[in-house]
Amino acid sequence: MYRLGAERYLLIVNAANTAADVAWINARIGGRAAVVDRSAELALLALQGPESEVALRTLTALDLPRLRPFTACESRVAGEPAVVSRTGYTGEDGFEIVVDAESAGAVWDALLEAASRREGLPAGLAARDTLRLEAGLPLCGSDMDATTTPLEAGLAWVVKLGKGEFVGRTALAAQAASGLTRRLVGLELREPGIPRHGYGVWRDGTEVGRVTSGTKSPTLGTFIGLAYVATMSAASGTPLTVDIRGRRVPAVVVDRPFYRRRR
Amino acid sequence: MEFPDDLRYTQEHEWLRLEGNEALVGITDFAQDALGDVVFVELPSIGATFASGQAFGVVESNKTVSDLFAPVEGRVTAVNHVLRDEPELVNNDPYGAGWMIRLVVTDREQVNRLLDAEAYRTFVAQQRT
Repeated sequence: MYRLGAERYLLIVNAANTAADVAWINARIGGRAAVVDRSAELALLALQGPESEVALRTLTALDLPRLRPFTACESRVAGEPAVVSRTGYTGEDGFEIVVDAESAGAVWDALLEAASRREGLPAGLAARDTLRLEAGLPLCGSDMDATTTPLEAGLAWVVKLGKGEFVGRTALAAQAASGLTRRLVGLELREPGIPRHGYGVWRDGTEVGRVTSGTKSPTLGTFIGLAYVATMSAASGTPLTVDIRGRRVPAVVVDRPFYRRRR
Repeated sequence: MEFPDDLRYTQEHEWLRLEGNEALVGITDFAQDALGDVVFVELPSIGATFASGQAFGVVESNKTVSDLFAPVEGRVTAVNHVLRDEPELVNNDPYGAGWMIRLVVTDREQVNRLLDAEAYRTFVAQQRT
């Protein structure tokens, strides 16, 4: 979520959940604000990686070194109006650039040309998904849904219980007080196989959780996943197994992120 | 995309190379390309027997999981253990180092009923449209 002005916000939601998110917001907004779904008018391009600042510098007048992580600025990129933010979902330094849909092709071409001079490549959703998993970042719709809470997902840092009323505060405060029964943890498999969404996680003959995401990490070469497991089995180093289509593959709970970028 | 003339093919995108009364089996260039980077291949035990069309293993890429089907009936005499550590061979050399199992063929007639390279090429062209 970007705050573009005193009372003006821009939300980037999971593309697959847009309609549900808009409906959810509208159901609670009570005339205190107006929501416009501009998805069809806008395009989001992400330039990610350690060289992204150097590459983007050639296309914008923005003072990029002073654009701090998690801040955004309205400016121009390749001559087109754009909201540039220093963020992304790859675990690397990088930028997300919101432009009008009509100018997306031209901005893409300019970004690709600038990036290719720094060994940049086009990357699709599957590549992005391996990166966010290596970084241990949970994905909405996969690792979080209407049945999970931010506390269980390890996102307590984004829900400040002491900052006044918000939707779900009572439930979260109650969960925080009573303690979590399950937690989202990182798993590293000891044998080849990809833990996929919905696969069971076991400990000593008892199912203790479910996988929500998994991949082979291209950077580490290991098989990794995220899973909700019972708090008693969530400690780092806990030996578990993942039921991969009937095959019990040994795994161990590991700290997230799986991979941390060099700074 | 390559489909060597000396191989036989299935509509499930396995290939078979007859060598005497044995046959090597793997997946085609088309299949490996569709799967993307192969990260894991689950293969049967030596001595296992499979009917024609029966699943003998699993190939897994980051994108998806897919069953492997025996092109003909047979008994497994060898499996490519190298794939355990180097599954990427399926992508890099699908008809060579990326082979999966060796079978003793029970019925040669089943081999003759498989697609030849020309027929498989036509089949793949249809899949793409």
